[in-house]
Amino acid sequence: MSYSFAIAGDALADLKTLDSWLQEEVLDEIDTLGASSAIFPNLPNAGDTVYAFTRVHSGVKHHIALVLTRNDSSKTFTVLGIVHQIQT
Amino acid sequence: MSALELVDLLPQLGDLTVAAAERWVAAALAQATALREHDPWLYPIEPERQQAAERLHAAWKHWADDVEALVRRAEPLQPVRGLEDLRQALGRVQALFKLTPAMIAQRRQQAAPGKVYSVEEARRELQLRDRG
Repeated sequence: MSYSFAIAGDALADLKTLDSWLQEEVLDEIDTLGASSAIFPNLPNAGDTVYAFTRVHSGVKHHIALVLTRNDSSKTFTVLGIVHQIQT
Repeated sequence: MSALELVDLLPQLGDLTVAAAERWVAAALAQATALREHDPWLYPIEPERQQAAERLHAAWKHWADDVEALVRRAEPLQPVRGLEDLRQALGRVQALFKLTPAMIAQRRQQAAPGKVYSVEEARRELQLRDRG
């Protein structure tokens, strides 16, 4: 199963609020997801899913979550939202 | 949803022992695992599932409130087994609170006919170095 990834305008606006190093990390992660669907966890049959990952930067843990919507006819995942939380 | 309100309860129970903290941490992690089974319901496409999605978000908020209280009480007791995993689960869900089901429903409608970007286009838009 091979799906391409696209980023909605609203999600791009989310991305613009992040520091540039984290923007790079998010886009790299989306690239990785597109290159290897095997690492993608338990895809639902249809609809939206959440993919979360963490990065440590300068000793601080950052949580990032992507809300993705899947279109089986176009074999596309579209990132609808990108959210970020610093671990307290 | 938790039957106990740890936010209110824990401060009334005196000092928390490491053993008790580890029991509560394990219970909170088990609850998070159960809630995550319902992740596909967090942002449903079907309008009739929106209310259930709102309630699932509320359940996570309740869980997060309890876990924040637990983490505050457990932190001075380090090391507490599972506490880092719990912080990790808390961070994930706190990030998700920033996107409500209604927000994603609206975004989905706008994205369907609207402009979407490839990763390369996003890199150019953000003036990041192209990795391609």
